[in-house]
Amino acid sequence: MKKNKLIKKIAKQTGLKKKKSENILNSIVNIITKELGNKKEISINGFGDFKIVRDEMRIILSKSNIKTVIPPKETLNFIPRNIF
Amino acid sequence: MNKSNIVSAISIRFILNKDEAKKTVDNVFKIMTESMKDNKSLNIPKFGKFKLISSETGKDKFVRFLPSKKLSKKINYDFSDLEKKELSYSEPESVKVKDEFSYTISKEFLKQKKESEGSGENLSQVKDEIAAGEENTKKLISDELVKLHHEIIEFSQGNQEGSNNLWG
Repeated sequence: MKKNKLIKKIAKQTGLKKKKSENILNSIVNIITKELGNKKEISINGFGDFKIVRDEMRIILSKSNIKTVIPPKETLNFIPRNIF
Repeated sequence: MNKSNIVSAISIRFILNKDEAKKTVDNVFKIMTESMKDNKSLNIPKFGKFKLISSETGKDKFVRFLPSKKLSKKINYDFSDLEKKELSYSEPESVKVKDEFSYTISKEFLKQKKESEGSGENLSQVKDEIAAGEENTKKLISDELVKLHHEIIEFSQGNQEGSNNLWG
């Protein structure tokens, strides 16, 4: 589903205007993005958790005996808290 | 951070009271969940994509979230400038096999040598002596000692001639 359809649904359910629904959705997404940017985890009851996971630096050895260093990386994990 | 923080922020930004804000936020997440179930995917630009994946049996279903490039970059900001790197391996010095036997002569030894022989020998002469002295090392007893031994025997046994001994 695309964002537009989602906004329409929100507007229908809440009774708010389409523009206001869009603003509210954007606001929620921005708050989540900002908090994740500050390395803070987010837990939403009845929806799910957003967690930051770090893969540590590692060295891999190829068959031709070449060592490659893979740098550390931080990625985002979503753990759903709802029965789908 | 949890849902109540989001509700507070929304109530402030959109000038709603807390109940209204809570209802709205709850609705938003509820509709997101429903749309995931119905459409099997929900795409929010600049945030990410929620995908509903069913297992092989088709009974178990779970949601996977794929963050957008923008969000991934933001989260990996600390390490974003690092890349894969191949290491070039070179043998350390200690592991390399030495081609020739090398040694250093201590200063004390040189001093002693100089004092005992009183000659102006220098380092290279001494080195040459030691290097070329293989024949000397085969002898267990020096010539001087052997000579001394002869003298002692001659003296102790008088002038006996034809004495057979190992050294005679």
